Amino acid sequence: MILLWGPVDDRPFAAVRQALHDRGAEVAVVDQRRVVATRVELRQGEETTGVVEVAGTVVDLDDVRAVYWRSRDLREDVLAAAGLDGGAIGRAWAVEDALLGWLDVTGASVVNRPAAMASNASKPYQLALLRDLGFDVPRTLVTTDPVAARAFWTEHGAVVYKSVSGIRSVVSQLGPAHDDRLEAVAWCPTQFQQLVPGQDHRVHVVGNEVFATAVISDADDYRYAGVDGDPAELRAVRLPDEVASRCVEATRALGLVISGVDLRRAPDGRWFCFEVNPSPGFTYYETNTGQPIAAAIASLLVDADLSPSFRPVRRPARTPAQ
Amino acid sequence: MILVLASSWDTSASALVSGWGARGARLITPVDLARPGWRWDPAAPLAGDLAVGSDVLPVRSVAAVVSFLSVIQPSELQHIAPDDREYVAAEVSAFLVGWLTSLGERVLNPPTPLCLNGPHLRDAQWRREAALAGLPVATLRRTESCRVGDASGDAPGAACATTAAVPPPGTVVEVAVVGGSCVAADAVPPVVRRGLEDLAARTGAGLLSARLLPGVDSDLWWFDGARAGVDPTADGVSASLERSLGVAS
Repeated sequence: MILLWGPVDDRPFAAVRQALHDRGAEVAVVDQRRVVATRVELRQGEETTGVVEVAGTVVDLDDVRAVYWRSRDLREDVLAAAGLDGGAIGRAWAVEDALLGWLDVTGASVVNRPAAMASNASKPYQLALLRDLGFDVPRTLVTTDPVAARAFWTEHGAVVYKSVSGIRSVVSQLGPAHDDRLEAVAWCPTQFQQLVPGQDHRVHVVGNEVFATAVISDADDYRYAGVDGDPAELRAVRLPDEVASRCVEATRALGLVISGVDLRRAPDGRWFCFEVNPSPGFTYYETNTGQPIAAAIASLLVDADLSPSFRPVRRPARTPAQ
Repeated sequence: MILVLASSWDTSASALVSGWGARGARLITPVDLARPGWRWDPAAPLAGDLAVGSDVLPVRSVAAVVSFLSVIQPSELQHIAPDDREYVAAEVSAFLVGWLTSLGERVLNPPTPLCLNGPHLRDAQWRREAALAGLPVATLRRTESCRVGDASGDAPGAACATTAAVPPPGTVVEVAVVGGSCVAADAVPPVVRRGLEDLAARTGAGLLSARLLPGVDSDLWWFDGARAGVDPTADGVSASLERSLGVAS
């Protein structure tokens, strides 16, 4: 059985669900928006076994051989469930925490394991890993010193700034209007990067498959290009084999099964890597290019579900139950 | 210089630093992370500066670091505007993960992306890793729910419930592992001590606290959970930290 856990109205989630339906796969869906109706029962020992129940529908986690999951901030949904007491959010997190713990230890194939997704929480941390994996990465300064920020700007001429954490931020280029505002970096470590000219590429890795999209846009952050002017144009392209292989290797090295790799091809031919997204919102690219990304993810899940090498959960034989 | 990263409210960490002060230890708190002076180039981490108290110091002067802080709480950043505290706390945490990692072996307990003082493992992962380290593992029955009542659908107004079976008080022994060695654990069977040290190694925990359930009449002790970090006031931990950090006597 394949377990899908996430908000059912999330586009990538819905796309994978539809692709699995098209394949006739046996699927159990746990809607994250119904967290207030969800109960998780686990026995955590040498192995972790148990069930998850949503409004009367019970899924035996021992029967699950593949998982695709997406996550969103629960607070809005929990608070919307009128009448819940003040501790509800904490207990909703505990439901999620229990499932996340199971995802990290289950013998099922998980797209992607929570522990492997964490590197994205610190961009400079992940960037160091990507540099070690052979990618070119932009020169970076993280600072609370306005003088150092100005010196970095002067040294590189064109500089962008972005969040250090996984919190989504609009990548913006420093300009004259920022001169006075640079003093504010004194109160929060701020990440500055050399502006690498060139063409953006989003690369979706699904197992061994690579779906590359060239992004044609003049915006500093093409994701928001439509807000200020012309939306980005997306085109399916083929990467040089060496670059495609590096994307697959990096995905694997980070412990991921699928990823969204942000690359830029510089005028001198070098490929810079900025980030690897462990839970890519691929539907924007799929819709614009026709690349069958959801179908590829569905194939991964179906193959895992049917794999004869699946390691069933071994029930603990001798442990004192607490 | 020895850097001790801790919450401003962590009195045991500040006491530790006071005791080591004459030997070059400095306490660094979340407030220090959001003040002027930090400068970090990930490609040349030792060439940067850090801000601690009213000083800006070269990173090259840092000989060792220990972290007693797992996350940055927004409430610690009282000098930041209330609406900005959550964002700044997340940014400071992400910065620290990168900065501490770039210091390599200088850090006694290296961070991981979601935890500033070691591995961020959930209980199920700790138990699995302990089993792989050869420790007998107790089983925790855990039920988490946000709805109690009939199973016909979401029930507004229903109470949320969390139940996790907890061992009876008085039966749990907590053992600290500092820098790869169990501390003050003479009563613990050698095979269990070796298992805990293996657990610390395989999870990359420079500081580890493990809960054990002693066997009634045998050397069979059960592992019942762990966390990254140690209580610096526990028996022998301070002396063990001094040895691991190279605090000169």
